[in-house]
Amino acid sequence: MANAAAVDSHDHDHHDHKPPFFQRWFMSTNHKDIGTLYLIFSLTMLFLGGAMALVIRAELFQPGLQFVDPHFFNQMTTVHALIMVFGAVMPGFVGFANWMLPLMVGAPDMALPRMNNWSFWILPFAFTILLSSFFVPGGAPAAGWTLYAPLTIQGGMSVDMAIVAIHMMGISSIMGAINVIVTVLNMRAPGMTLMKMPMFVWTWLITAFLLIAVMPVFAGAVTMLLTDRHFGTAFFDPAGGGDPVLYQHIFWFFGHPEVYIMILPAFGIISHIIPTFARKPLFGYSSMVFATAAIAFLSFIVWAHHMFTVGMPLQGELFFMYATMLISVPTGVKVFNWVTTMWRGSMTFETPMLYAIGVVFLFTMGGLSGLMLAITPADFQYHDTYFVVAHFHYVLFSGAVMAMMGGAYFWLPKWTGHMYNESLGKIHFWLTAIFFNVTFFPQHFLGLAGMPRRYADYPVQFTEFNQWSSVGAFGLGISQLLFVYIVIATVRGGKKATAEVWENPEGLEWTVPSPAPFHTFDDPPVVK
Amino acid sequence: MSAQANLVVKLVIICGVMFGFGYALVPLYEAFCRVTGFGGKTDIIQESVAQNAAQLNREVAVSFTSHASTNLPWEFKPVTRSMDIKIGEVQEAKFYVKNVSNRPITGMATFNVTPPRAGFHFKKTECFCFTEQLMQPGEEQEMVVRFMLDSQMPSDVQELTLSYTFFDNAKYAASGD
Repeated sequence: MANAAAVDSHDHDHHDHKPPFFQRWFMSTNHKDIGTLYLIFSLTMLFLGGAMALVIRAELFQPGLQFVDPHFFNQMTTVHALIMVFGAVMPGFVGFANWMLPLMVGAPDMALPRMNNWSFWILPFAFTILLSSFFVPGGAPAAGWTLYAPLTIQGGMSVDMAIVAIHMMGISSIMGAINVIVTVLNMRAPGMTLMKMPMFVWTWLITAFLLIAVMPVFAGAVTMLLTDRHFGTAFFDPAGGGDPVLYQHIFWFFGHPEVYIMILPAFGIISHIIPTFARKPLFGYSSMVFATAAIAFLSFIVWAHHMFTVGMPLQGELFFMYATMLISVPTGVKVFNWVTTMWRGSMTFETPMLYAIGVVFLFTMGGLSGLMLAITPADFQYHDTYFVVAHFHYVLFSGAVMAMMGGAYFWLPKWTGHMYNESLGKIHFWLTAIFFNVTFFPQHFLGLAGMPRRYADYPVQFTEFNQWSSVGAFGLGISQLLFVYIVIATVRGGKKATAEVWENPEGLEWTVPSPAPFHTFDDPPVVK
Repeated sequence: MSAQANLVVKLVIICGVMFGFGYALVPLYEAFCRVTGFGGKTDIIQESVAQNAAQLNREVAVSFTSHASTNLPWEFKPVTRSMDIKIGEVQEAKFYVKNVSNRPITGMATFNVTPPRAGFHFKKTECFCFTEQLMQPGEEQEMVVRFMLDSQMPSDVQELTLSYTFFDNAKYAASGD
């Protein structure tokens, strides 16, 4: 008995015991530390991909060729996209999932902690391989992030490096997804039924199913590319009887669900922030859950809207047009629910709330331009123009990335135990929102006027809008340094955060102290 | 097996199945193209069947285009640029091919019909594109395609284009056909 008591007190004393530096960060199986690693990795990649975007914008400040040659320009557009999609947005959301899912469902850790460690540590190696392709003969892949055949059948060894890197990233995100599903389905606190789960948990559960359904398809597509390149198969090479359009079908069968993989967790984060600062429960919780599931289902039957111009039967074009437009119904349900949650709430506008409202506003604009692109005859005009570039940056930057920034401000006090500097946070929001619009809004006009994407040069009449866009891009990039400063300052010190942090927030994560101790929920909480 | 391990195994199986599904899309797409004519795929029939096909008193203007892939040093052009063809009539079109290099090269032609929905009703009985073609240095040939348009050809198709591309087959020659 005495022995048992000693063990108890031992456990209690070492509740917050952390291993030494190397073991803690390199061999970690703790969901919070791995979450932190993911988030740091994601932020690093955001700056790396952002630097490449600035090379693109510097070159496009004026017509003609100023700084880089067109081949390097194409490497920039390609690797910028690969890094942002697979290095910044996806790992960023996995970081949030690692940190928050166990806290939200009342679990002591992720279900498969060692696999968790492995899935993170694959990523730095994958991106080292991808980035070192800049130094091989011919430079990095330059065929666009979609790696369309037959161009990628011809590229240099950098294409092989990209394929290996993509396989590794795919394995990493599949393992992350399996971990999320097992955690959510098996480790919820007693009393937390599926329909009592917080929205972020729901959106991530559905995202994880999307991931395990489509990442293997993408792995298959790039494997076919690899065997076409080196092992004499002819899946896509017309010389051997293959069909390049087939690659586009397989790629976008992965690619469209991938788009929702990058936005559903953002919807989840927004669904936590808005009720907190509107001081009302989320309006229409169950419709939110079903809307998320509906979006996930529809994402599998709309892929060909990315390739209307390859020439497909009229019935096909009509089907993909209507199916695509159908997605705006569940998405509209979500937007209405967020707006209704705010309606007559006692709203305050702290930084996370500013970001959440910014996302609702700007993402919806991106959704609207998406609806325009879905119209098949109109798409023949917009296809591969800057209108498309503007559209997907409105949904990916002002949707996914700004939601993550809002989420970071929202949970930063829980992670660090300190309040961030509210005025700096607000300044960061306004700089980001304004420069974002300066960068990408003019690109709508450029696209409508016919400026094609992925070119290092353009006719003189496009100069003015491009200059707006370039100025905005540098402003946007530099503003993010402020974010880094705020985060570092908050980690180092600041006003002590309470366990609740905000006013009566909902969710189990607010029942643990701030900063969240190294081990939480060793005894599962009971949810009523 | 614990509930947890059980679930992990199921999820890994889903991943494996989806990896296979990516590959399954290849034959599915082939079948889809063959059935619908999508992608400008054409159909093959026996000469005897073609000779007995129903003829209609409707003409379609058929144009021919051809080119050799950039890394194949062949001259390749249609002898007749276009002809008006009665539905159901078996016709022959000739293409001029010359190997302008000083080495023997095996080429393989791919084809496509525009508009794609006409491809399904474009029936070949014989074509140089069915087999690999070996050309000696400087050799010239007239290559032949025999074909007919079947009576199901959509009535609003008044003109269509048959296009050929010759590729260097060296990379695939070993695998045969």
